[in-house]
Amino acid sequence: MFKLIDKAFSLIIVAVIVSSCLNNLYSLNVREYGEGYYSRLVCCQLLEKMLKEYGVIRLFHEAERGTLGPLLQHFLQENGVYEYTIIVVEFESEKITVGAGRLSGTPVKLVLFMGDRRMVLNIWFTK
Amino acid sequence: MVQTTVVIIVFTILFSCTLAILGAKRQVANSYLLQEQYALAKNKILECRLNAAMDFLYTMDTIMLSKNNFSYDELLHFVEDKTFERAYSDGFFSTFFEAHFSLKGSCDKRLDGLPEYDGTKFYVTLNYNISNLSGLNVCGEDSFYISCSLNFRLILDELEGAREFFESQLFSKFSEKLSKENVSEIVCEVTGLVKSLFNCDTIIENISVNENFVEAHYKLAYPTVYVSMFEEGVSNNIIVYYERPLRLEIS
Repeated sequence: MFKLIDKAFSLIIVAVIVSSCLNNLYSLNVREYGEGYYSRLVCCQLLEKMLKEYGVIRLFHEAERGTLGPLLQHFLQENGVYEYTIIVVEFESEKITVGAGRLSGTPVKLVLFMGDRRMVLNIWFTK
Repeated sequence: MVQTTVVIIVFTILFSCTLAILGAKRQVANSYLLQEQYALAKNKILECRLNAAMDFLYTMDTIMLSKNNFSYDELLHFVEDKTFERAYSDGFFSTFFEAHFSLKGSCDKRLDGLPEYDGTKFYVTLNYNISNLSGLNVCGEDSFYISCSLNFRLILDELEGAREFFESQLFSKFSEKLSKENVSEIVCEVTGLVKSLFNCDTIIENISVNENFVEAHYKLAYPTVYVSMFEEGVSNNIIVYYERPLRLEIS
């Protein structure tokens, strides 16, 4: 009788340990997916809002004048995401970096053209 | 034997529960991935729309700032259907679009991200193909309208109206009282009317009057200002003209 209880308990314990380990591992993974999705969604929304607010032509003009950095900084502060968002703009040979936070993962990119000029907006949201 | 079976059953139940939980979590993760891909694809479609519109408007802007005189036919050519296409990559997404621009359409969806002007509306049909390194492949069609700073339709209509008015007035006035002495008087009167009604200047060259017909080479000029959509504070004084030889039979 005791042998059976021993066997049963040890199997149950092993099963519980294995299942909880697997679940925890996978739940970590799911959380990562969730966070990745959320941050990319926020990035897309921010890009959309930025385009609606300033328009493509203004972004190019500000970049040409060298004032795109302050404009984007104002945009991030106004939307309360400055601490968790990083925007890197590649325009001609320049790279303009705005925002703060930990840079990790792949950014959401927006490629824009005005004639033969190309601008790439890379955005990370890290909250 | 029974005891061992019970243990195996318990173990199997526990294991099945674990698998079920893992399966559910996998589904949650997949749904996150799908939603993420959807959001990114939506972002890329917006990018396609903007780039297509920018290509069209920038080409138009460059042409309109390149010279001061445009013929009626040149302007007519601007508003004819046009197709623009572009293929590019951002390192992860590869994008291709083909955009068709036309005056005909009924879509009332405006494109955000570009200024709204009072000028001519162009209707855009956009075909896109977006793919990425994760195996996403999105093809589709979208339609919207964009506006430009010049009212092409108004200018063309004014010139067309002025031409019809000028020729019919000239014909009726010459038919009524044609003599070599009053030709300049009639021409002055008609050109004055054209100016006041259609805002067009009329230039007449080589007018010759016979008993049965009048021959002239005339030019109608519509002056206007083109305001650049891309160069800040830049505008161009342009003249759109219509010219042709005219022969009026008066018998």
